[in-house]
Amino acid sequence: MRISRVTRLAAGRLVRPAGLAGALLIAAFACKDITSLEQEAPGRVLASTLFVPSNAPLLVTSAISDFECALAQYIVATGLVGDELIDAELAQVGWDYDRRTIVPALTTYATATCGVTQVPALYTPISIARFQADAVTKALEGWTDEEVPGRQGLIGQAAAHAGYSLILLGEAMCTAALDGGPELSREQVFAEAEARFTKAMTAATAAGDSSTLNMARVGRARARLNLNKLPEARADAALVPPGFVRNATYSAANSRRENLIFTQMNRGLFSSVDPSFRGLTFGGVPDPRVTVVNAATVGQDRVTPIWRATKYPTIGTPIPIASYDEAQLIIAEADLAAGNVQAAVTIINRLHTAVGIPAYGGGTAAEVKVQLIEERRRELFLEGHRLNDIIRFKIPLTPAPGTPFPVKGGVYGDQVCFPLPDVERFNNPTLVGKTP
Amino acid sequence: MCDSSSYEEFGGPARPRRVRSRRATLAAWAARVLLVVGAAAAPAAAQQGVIAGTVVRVGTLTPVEGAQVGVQGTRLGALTDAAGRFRISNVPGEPGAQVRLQVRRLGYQPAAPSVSVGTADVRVVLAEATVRLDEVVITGTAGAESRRAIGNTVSTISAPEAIERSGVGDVGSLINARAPGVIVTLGSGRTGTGPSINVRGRSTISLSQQPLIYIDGVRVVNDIGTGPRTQGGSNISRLNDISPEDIESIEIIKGPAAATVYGTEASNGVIQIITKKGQAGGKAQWNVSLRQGTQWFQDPEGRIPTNYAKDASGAIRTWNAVEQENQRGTPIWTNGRLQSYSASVSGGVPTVRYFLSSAYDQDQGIESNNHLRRYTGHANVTVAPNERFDVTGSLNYVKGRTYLGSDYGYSSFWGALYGTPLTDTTATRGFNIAPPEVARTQFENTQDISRFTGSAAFNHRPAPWFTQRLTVGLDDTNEDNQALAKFLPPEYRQFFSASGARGSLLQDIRGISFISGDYSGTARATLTSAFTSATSVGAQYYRKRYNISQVTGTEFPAPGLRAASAAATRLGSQDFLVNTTLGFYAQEQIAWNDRLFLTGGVRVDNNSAFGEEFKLATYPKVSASWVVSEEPFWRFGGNNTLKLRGAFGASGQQPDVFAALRSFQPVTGSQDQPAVTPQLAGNPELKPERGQELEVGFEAGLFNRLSLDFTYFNKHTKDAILSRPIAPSEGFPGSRFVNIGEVSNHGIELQARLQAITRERFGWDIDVNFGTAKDKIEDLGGLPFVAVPGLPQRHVEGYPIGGYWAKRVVSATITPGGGPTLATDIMCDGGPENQHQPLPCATAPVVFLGSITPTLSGAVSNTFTIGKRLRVYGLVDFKRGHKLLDTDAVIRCAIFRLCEANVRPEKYSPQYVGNVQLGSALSVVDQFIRDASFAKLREVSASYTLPEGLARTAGASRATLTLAGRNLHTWTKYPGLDPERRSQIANIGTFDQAVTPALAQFITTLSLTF
Repeated sequence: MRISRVTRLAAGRLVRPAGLAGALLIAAFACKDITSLEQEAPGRVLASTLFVPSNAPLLVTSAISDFECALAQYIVATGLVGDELIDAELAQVGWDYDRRTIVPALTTYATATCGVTQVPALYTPISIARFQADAVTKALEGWTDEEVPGRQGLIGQAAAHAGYSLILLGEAMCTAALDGGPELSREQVFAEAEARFTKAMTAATAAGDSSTLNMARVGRARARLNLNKLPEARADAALVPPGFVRNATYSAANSRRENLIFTQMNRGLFSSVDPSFRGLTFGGVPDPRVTVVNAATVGQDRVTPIWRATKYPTIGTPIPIASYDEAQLIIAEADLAAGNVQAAVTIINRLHTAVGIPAYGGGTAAEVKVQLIEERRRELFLEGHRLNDIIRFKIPLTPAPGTPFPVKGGVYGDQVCFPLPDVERFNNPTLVGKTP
Repeated sequence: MCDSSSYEEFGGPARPRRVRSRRATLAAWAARVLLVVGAAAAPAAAQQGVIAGTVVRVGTLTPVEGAQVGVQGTRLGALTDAAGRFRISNVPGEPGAQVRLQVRRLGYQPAAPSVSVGTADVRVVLAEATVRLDEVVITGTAGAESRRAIGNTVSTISAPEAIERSGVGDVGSLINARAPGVIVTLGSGRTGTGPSINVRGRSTISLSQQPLIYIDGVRVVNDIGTGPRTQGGSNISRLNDISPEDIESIEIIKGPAAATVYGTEASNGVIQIITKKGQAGGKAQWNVSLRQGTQWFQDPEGRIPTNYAKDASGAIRTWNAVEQENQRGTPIWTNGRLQSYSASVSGGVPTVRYFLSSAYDQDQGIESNNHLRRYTGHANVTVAPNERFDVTGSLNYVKGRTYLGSDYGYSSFWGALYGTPLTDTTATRGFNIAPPEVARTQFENTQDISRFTGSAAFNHRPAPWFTQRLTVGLDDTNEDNQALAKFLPPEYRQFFSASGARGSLLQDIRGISFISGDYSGTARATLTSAFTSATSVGAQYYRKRYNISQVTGTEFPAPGLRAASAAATRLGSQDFLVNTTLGFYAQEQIAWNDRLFLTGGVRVDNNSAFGEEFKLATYPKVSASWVVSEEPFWRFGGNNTLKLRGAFGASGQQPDVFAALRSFQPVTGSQDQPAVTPQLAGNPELKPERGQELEVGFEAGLFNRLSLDFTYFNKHTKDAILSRPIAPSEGFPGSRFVNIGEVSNHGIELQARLQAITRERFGWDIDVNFGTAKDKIEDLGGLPFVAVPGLPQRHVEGYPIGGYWAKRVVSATITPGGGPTLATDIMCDGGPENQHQPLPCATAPVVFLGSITPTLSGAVSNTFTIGKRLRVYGLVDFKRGHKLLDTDAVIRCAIFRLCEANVRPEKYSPQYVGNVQLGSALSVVDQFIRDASFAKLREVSASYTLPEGLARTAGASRATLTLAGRNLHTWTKYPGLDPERRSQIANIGTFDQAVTPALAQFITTLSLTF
């Protein structure tokens, strides 16, 4: 009896606080404003609100922006692996480019993004540019002309930049992947590029956008050159009018917008022009296409003399993506392969005349091919072609593999393309667990 | 000194704060009424006198503040002041009549001396309690709770005692080596920097390891690694904003089992800082502390290595930066002065109590561009208008500027470690990049801090059975971080590019505010004569907001300019992050005879960073505590106590604020038009990591001399969040947080104190604590490994988090005399997959080389009290079982090729030479990943309490002079400058490169009480 009284007393005492607690909890959970917390993100654009027709111009500008940033990074990265630039960095993470000892675990080329100013990024910015351009193209194709004024023109621009992103991916990488898909060979990537350019040409034609149309023509010609479809490449290139050039734009707005080639040699002093590009002449006349000056200083590593290319004199100097001159060189290469040696010499001399250097006298097909390669080296200096030419034409590497890498240790390797990085192989759902 | 003529009655035996049955409570209340009536009637017929004196701690003879001194059988009593003094008036009885005092203080064994009425120099000596079961703990509990009822371990650090012993000047040092399992990692020794704190090892792969920090119940910013984002500047800890002189104690709970009531974010443990409060007393109590000291880089001649190189003729030349600069009369590093001044006043009456303090610190590092000034102010006011209600308001303000100097490139350590004899006749004097005075002239890396922390805690006891508490608080921090590179004078421009010589400014302004609201209510009920119940409910709300503005200006047109607006190129950005947590909890505690306690509870949380697909996180807890030594069957005497405890609980760790969202970042696009770029891939299914922990242990006291606090813990982090890299082909950069892993962590902790000798003129206390922790990745979601970018560290299933992995050289053929090729035929360990058969290093796999986290840490201290006034103290702490990448050696030997091994490889092992040959890419660095175990003579001090007469000449009632040394010796096999150096402490990348090592210090402190 006593126990039951105590129990009742205790129970009575528990009822009040328990009831109060329960009421508070019920009230709190019933109030959705309190329990359903929204994450504010005032400095970010959520994907759910971005891909709408009214944002179509913004999306295309964004795709072009990512490509422009990737292009500058690509030119420096491949310039170091090739023979246009030499490394002048203090940090060892950048030495593998110039030393040609790139391993799949190297994070600089694999995961660094646009905006880095020291060791250039590669795979990620190009992949982002490609993804953006493809995603925007797909979105535009899903909308109507009523929803998006000038839709065809926007599709043309987006697809052309998707095609160029694939060109960069194919020319720099040994293999690559798209959208978490399988590992693709260079040829497969170039085939993807060809398809994008075809789409771009159709859309640009419909929109009457000649600049994008010619950009896509040069791009498809370049893709076809890589696919060894020389007649088709020549056909595209032949349609490009004289004087055409399509530039990527740069500015001092921020590190993403900077012409990285300029900043590498003028600000950070991370790179210098390779000795093989210094003091180039033709017939005793300095070649203005490859003007290089001694900066009379050493690089960040306090050792490497800095030689600067005057081709990009400011942080905002544009970089050519596609041009009539490149188209002409493609035509010359196709003509030469077809046995029309004189046609190739004519094109070479047309380029010489344009820059005021003596004419080339011609020679055998083999000699003209050597000169054509040299013309490409100079005409397209620091425009992102040289490494691919080293691959395509099997140009001997200098310094030769096995040569000691000066000052910083190790020896030069023999890599001329970037391997598919570990970050792709280990995180791509299609590739995880597969032996390379 | 407190004088009270009416206090709690001191009639019964010294057994405070036992919850008794309702019937027993009523009986005791009735007895008290009778006694009080009797006592009130007595004075009419009796004379009254005074009893006064001092209460001191046995052994150290230091005053015991806040001790309750009462006259047995009366309600007369007083509290001792900071000098340990008390005075009781109106004591009934003839002068000389014997009465018995009851003296109690939490943490001490009660005393009951017999004294004569009228005696004014009573001296009561209290011995410390070996096990403090009735000490109140407020961290990790629903309300204030006595230690006897808590099922988990709580480490408590008495700040005044630690400061008086060791003269520590910052909170990081205050915590270091005083709680088992709490690992404090220094990072840089530069003035103004602060450590990282790691509790019970690592238990998360990709999220922060830092415990939560609370001040008086209010959540505050726990950022480490703050500062200007350049040259190793990010090493300032917000923890060190708090003046140690304002701290009464620090409570640390160590994992999910104890931290369930803190919910999401608490799985790394919680550190609660309890600030000093005023004591009711007759008059204001003033304390003044003056600290002067010096710090220096110990033995630079023996620690900065000599560098080697061959000149053009092939002759070997050497260069040692320290020797060279000493001979020039321009030593690289000098002694830096340390000084601080603090004053406080406290006091009050029972209804209003206050504590006010202020401190000023001015510390100079070992380089002219490294120093700090800091002002702090603190106020605590408690108002208790009646027995049912009290409110405590707390205000804390800190303002200061830290000049961080520089580490990494363009620092004196960079220049001295990586300099070359081949340029010692040039303007660099051999230093790498530039001589030290250049960096000190050009770089000014600063952090201005202005921080306000305020709180109000309302305690309401509307009924005897119900108490509730509401705490609200704000922690508002404003940082102005600037990395200024000045426009250089002509003579220094040669060391920089033309652009670099014109200078730049990188400014990072951060406004951080934490808002906290915490309610708890507890209803207590007596269920039966043996059982009582305590039912608690509560809710907590946190909102943290980071407002970040960044400005970059490059190339000033003229000297003297230092604002971004004056730079030729200016860039800026601004953003803010907000994160909100709302949690509710309920807890039930059943007590049996006040010696067996069972507690169960649950916490439910929502957080704005959770993914859309995940709603609420629920964390349960259950614990038990049993004071075995109070059981009738206990046969080991009253001097021996034993409490068994166990707890199981869960708490979480939230992902990054925007981790769940797929987002694009606004950027300047083509032709400088607005654009966006992929930023975060997001994960709508993201949920918090869930830490689950079992801890069991005991607290024991033996013979009133030895206390033991032992704990075994076993922790599993489920749904471990991994920052998994995104395949770039998917079009987003960086990583995506995914819940795919599981991490385990287990270990033991022991804290022991032995009062070896407690004689009045000689005392010897020995304190020992150690903790082990062994972490392992149990599940990595099928991934073979996740690499730590840029370092030879990996997360691999079955191995410790972020362990070192590199190729291991097993043999090589050395080329005598060195040259471009030091060794050939370099072979590496083929790894377990090749039965460890040697392979050419180019094709060999990386192998596991060691953990980055100490598996054993701890400390041993001894305190000797000699005579009545002198105390000598020393503390050695240690960490073992971990390795550290000696990046200095990699850079010197494998990259810049400045080591003796580069010119005389035949003097070194083939394995080492193989590393020197191949180490530059950081894949063959096994010889540079070294055992970083160490023991350090962290603190040594001598304190002398000046004679009272001497103190009185300064108007003080007590004066203490302490001479303390810190970091005076290190025992280690680690070949680098200091095994505690870390180039970064805010993330998992663990390496030792061109940063300032821990500095040795001598500090003199004069403390005066008025």
